[in-house]
Amino acid sequence: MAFARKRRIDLLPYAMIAPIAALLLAISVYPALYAFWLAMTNASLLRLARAQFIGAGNLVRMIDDPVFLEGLWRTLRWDLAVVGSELAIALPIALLLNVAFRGRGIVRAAMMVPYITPPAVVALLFCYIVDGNFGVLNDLLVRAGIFKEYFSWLSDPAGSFWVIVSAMVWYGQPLMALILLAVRQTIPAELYEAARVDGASPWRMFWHITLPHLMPTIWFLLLLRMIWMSNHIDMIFIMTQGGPGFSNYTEAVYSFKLTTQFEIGYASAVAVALALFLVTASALYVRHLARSVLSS
Amino acid sequence: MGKTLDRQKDWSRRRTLQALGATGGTLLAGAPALAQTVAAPAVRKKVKLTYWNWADNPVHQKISLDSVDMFNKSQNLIEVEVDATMAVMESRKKLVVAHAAGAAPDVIMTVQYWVQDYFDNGILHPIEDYFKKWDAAPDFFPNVIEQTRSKKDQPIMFVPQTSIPYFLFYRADWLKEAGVQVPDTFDDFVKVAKAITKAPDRYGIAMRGQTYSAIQVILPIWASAGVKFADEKGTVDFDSPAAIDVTEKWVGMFTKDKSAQPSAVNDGYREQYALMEKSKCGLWFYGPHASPALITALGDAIQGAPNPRVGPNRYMLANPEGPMMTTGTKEKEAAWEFIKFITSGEALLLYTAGRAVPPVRKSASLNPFFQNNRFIKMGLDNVSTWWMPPYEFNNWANFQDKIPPFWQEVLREKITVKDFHAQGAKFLRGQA
Repeated sequence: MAFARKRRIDLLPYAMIAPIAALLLAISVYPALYAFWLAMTNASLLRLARAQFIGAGNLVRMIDDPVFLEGLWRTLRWDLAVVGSELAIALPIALLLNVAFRGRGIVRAAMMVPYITPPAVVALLFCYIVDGNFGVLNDLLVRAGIFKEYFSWLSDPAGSFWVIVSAMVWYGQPLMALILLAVRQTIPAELYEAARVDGASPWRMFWHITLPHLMPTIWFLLLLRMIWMSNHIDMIFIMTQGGPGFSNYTEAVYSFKLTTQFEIGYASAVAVALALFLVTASALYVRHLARSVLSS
Repeated sequence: MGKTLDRQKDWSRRRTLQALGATGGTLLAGAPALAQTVAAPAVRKKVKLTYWNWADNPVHQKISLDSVDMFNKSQNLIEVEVDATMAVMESRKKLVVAHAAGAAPDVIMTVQYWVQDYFDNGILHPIEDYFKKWDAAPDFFPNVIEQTRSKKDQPIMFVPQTSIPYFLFYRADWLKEAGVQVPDTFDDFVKVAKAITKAPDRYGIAMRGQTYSAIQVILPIWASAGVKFADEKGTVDFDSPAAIDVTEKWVGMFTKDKSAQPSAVNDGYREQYALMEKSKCGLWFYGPHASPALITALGDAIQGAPNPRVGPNRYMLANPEGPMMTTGTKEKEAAWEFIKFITSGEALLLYTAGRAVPPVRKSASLNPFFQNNRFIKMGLDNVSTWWMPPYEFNNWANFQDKIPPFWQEVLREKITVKDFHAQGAKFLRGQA
């Protein structure tokens, strides 16, 4: 006689993940939902209890706000300049550090120095280097005859942008180089040996073996760094406070500035808009990535 | 001159802080102790208080820690815990956030320009009742106490420790070399700035482009030109021809005369100080707290003068600072005892002489340290000209928070002076 036994639910796995799920709810889901709520209010930190629901009021304000609208381009420009430069520098470094040479261990360790330096310190160091009156960069450029007089880098929109990008790239590229180096070391040596036997040049080996193996990681790094850079504030803020004028106001900096003015409702709206852009772009990107990996 | 330059080379930020620390320490060791407030008669149980202060530098931070240590040792019932790790602007943000979260400290140091906002939003607990009963009340400068009311009909909001007057630092040797006098009027000032400029080696004025402080130093000159900014009726005149005229001349020093350093747009305090110390600029509007380091670096070459005027009246921007009681405190008596302590006696000297800023108590201001520092003495001699803009106006914080990027834009000639004033007036009118 066979009785259909009632399936018992094993509660243990749920019990195991319950603490982390509760923690995530508390520190991630609840704040995110609260930010969405704030984005639909006129909340000020000074008068939080008197916040009123205004629906899409902040959205309407954003559409009419040149600082927000121009901030979209500034954010994209910042992302592309930093992440593109990091990749352009990190990839050759990773390949170089894969080559055997004397002192390679020391060089590999030294390479990480920028990344373990606090970003605030990096920002101040770059401020001193490019100082318009006493900076060593100006001194070198004038001595070399490239500039006739000192240039105030941080007072110029383009100059300040590239100085901040340089500081960020100097700080951030070691991580990318390290990850690419780790992936490079997983590529089977037999592939290169076979290519050498077939008479392939180093360039062809890079193009047909190294790069295809690195590409999934590169795509992933690009996505990750773009998200990080879109949310980045400290380097920009310490070096220029977003200036001169509004020239370095990315959306993240703008949201932060609004918070310092206690306009937490509108600041949340800007932050939520940025998050939605990032989530949408990331979703499309991941979908594309998954399809290309599957097809390959 | 050679000696001066050698000394300048040796000067560093570390030495600046050491000089300030040594100044305060020497003063406390040598000066006769002023009457110190003693234990709290109104507090009869063990009480814990939290106290927040900002730290301009490590010396300033140590002042907060030392004063709390002195207080805790002075009696057995009240124990104060201090947090002095924030920058000045951060302290406002931190307080507002903490208040919203119901976790404000009992006592926090404040600057006058935040007081009305704190009061209007239920963060600040006025101390008028306590202050009136305090036997030391008549010792405070009456005009400064009146300022702490923020509005005429309001109670006293906090107890001032200091009010830092902003005046003109100038290079006496450069003025003499150029054959010009210390500027009396603003027009004279513009001429002097031009006369002492020898670009690119040296510039007349160390001009500031970054943050609200860049505009703050111009406030008394606008006021001298008759600009009221905003009155009780809500009339705003920041876009008046008188205001625009002053700004045209100020900005003209940078854009036309080239008598300000080319890096002015992004320069803040740190850069301005370096420009003065390294003899790159000759005129600077700042407070006496920069004086010990400048005297050590430049000797008698650096001198101070009241701000130039436009109309008949001359003003010196002076913002009272001092501890305030928050509405969140459950131990008001204990908080008041602590406030009294750090605005009196040796603790007051720590906060004032230790930072090279003038006290606002008559007895303390007679201390040799303040009388012997020519910059602080000049400030004290001009107490009658101490002035502040209408911080109590309900859109002042809006103006103060939002105008800085527009100042950089006007220096870069991306907007006109007229546009800048129109934007400022909009902020003051609450239209933006």
